[in-house]
Amino acid sequence: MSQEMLQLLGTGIIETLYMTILSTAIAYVIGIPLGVLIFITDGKGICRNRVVNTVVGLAINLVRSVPFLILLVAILPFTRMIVGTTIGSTATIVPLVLAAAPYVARMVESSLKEVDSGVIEAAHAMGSSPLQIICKVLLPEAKPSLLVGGTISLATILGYSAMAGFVGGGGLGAIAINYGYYRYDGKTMFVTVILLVVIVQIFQEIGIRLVNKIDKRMK
Amino acid sequence: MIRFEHVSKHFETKSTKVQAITDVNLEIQKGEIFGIIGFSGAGKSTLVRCINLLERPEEGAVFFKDVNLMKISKEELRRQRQKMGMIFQQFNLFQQRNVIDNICYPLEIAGVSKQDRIKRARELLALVDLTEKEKSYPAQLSGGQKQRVAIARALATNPEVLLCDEATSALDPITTRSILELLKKINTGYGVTIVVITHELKVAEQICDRVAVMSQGKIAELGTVKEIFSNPKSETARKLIYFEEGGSTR
Repeated sequence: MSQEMLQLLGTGIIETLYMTILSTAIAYVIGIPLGVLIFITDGKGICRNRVVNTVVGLAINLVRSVPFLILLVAILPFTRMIVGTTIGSTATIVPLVLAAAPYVARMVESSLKEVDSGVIEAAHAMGSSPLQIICKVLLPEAKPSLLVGGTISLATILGYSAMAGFVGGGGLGAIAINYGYYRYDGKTMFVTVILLVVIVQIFQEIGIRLVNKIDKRMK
Repeated sequence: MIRFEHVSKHFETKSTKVQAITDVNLEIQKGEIFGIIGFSGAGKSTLVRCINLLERPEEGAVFFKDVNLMKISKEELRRQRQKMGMIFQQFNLFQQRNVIDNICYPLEIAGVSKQDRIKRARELLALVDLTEKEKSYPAQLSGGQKQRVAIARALATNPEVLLCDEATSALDPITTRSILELLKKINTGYGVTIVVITHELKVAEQICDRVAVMSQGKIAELGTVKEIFSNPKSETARKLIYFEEGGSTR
């Protein structure tokens, strides 16, 4: 493999990591409050509110049901408005965040659902306010599960980022498509796919180790 | 200390309406250990949850030290709840907090400084005899130890009442005895009024001053432990005593 190709792949790895990690981080900034909101306003939640629950739930499902490639193209004007361009890895972050935030919200919701309702009841009995229950009970108790969710989200968003290569996004996905698909360069495509697999494995491994370290339930 | 006036509470599912408690009148005196006994589904747990309004009755009034809890704001209710401790059958400890941080939680939300929290938590650990488990996590403790931590946590804010919802039902007889002794000590030593919910007659027999027998959401009979055990008037009390004897000796 040529020096040039190696350099290209190196840049691809960095771009992929940049897109994936930054998008996941921003998606969590949006997704955690959304997930908490949908959890607490649920019929059994600590701040029941049917209207809010239905509206937020619908909005999440709506965005989640649009296929990523279509979402990517559909919001091109919006992307241009925010980052000034529609190509490259920074531009890809906008649709990635938009697609990932509702997904993350559902992941967060399902993690919160795992928290023992008895523990929440005990917190109520001790006179906790809803905000205290969210910050001091729900989120800390769900932390290991949230981290597992984070690892899964990271891998999913990595997959999305590779798809963005089709419409001018950067990273390994773009290399696989431009060299492997359009130029019939099977070897390059194979190498990029292997690299993607390795990255997912590394994310997974780090995530699992972290979870085992912080989870106090099974020691 | 605690007074119920015509308290009723029902639960609704899509198809059915279940009357959990019906027109309950009750007064629990300061400093006593009051037992509520009955079979499963009699409404005991709902009744105890109406004391701190974890369940809000549809009708009636719940007084805690002459404050009608049904009439006060949410903030005020939270302040009142800090004067009532509660322990549960499944302990309900925070799994991701260690023992001392569990005990500190009620102090944390009451705005007590970190130094004072730790100091108070250590006193309580000594009271429940778990000083060496300070840094352990709930998953590392036995059932009896977990309940001791839960008791310490419930007592952190110096409550005047301790509500115990089937607190010993998940424990073996020896551990049960030691937890009951601890409750007795808290009652006599610190003057904490204790409300005990149980389906085990032995528990009531061992520590209660007065007992209410519940059946189908109503109080079937109320009296001192001696009165009820020697001369049960209600059908439920007779059945409870009958099954207890049958189960323990034959």
